Amino acid sequence: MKSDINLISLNQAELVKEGGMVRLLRILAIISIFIVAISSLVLFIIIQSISPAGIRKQEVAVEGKISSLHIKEAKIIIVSRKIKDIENIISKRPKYDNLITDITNIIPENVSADNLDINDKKVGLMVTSGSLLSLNKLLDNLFDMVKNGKVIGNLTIGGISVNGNSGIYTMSVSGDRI
Amino acid sequence: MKKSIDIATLNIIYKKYREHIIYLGIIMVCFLVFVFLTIPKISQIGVVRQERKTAEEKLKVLKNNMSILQNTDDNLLELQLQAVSEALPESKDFEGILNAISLASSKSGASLNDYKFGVGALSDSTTPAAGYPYVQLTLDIRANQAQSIAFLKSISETIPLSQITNVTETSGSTSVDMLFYYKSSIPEDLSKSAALTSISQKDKDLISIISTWNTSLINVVSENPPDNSATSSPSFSSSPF
Repeated sequence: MKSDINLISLNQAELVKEGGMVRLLRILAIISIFIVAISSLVLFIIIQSISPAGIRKQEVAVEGKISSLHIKEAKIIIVSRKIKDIENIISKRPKYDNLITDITNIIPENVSADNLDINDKKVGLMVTSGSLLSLNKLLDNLFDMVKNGKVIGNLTIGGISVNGNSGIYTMSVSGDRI
Repeated sequence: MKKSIDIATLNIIYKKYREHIIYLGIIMVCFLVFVFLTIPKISQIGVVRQERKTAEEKLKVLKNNMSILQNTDDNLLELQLQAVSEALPESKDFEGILNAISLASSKSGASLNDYKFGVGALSDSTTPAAGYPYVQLTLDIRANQAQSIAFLKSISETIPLSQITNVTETSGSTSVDMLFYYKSSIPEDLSKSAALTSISQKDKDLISIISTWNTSLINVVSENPPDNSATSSPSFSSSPF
């Protein structure tokens, strides 16, 4: 028996094969069109929904309203800036009236302050008294002040002298401001 | 001759595979559209979303600014501007400074001996350590200690705002070094997207306090005439001042 007898002609076999290929290509083409169309549509919808165009229109409208209030806007900005600056200045400046009061409050009765010099960094005091005990009391008070971290951070005794005729002692002290 | 054969061959092939070619062409076009148009659009979503976010934030700022502008009372704002401008003038305010000194002197009972302005170069842009331009003033007052303290307290509660930098007290007189601040706060450019901040209650309270410092000299002088008896305050008997 001949084994190579082909009941279907070669052309017909090819036609069947090609027909399958065409169908496959058609399906793929339709799927491609479908995918591109759907993805484009979905993208279009997404981009339209998140587009800032509508918001920009609102911005323009609000900016238009604000532009007529520019002077008022400038005034608010000036007030805000100045208030911030004023607050800053007031919070940082030392209260010299309180400083002087604090220092003079510790000066004993029979001690006179001849000179008091205060600036942002130093405190200098020159006192006179007829009593060394009173000067000692003043020094104790100043040391307490240093110890409590009030007004002055350290203390230096500049010198103590006595006037032989009058018996008046003069003492100068200085310290760094806290 | 050869050419016509090739065209004929191509025609045959085309006729035979026409459908294949068309479908392949469609697939290719779809592929190209997807790669060169669709995919870039997908990556564009992030950009558009970011733009929207930015636009939304800007709109929020603008609406907030609008709300602040609409809710701010014009007259009150004018008064607040006047108060803060007197406290921290736009430029060197010598008249204000002299008024402040006179006012503090009247309130404290201290008498002014001498004062000296350190103005600086007229065309300079002073850059002080504190961050604000200032006018420097050295002032000699004749006062006892109570009056000196009262003067220092008064001057710190008087506008234009000042800061004392040095006090030297000797018997019966006090030398005070002071800085009177000023600063220009006029906005150079109003940015449309810059957020406005409304004046808070804390700020309003501060403005109220400052406004009370702005008592006119005439009123103070007439209400509180200098009291010479205060020059011998008993509370500072230990001091020679």
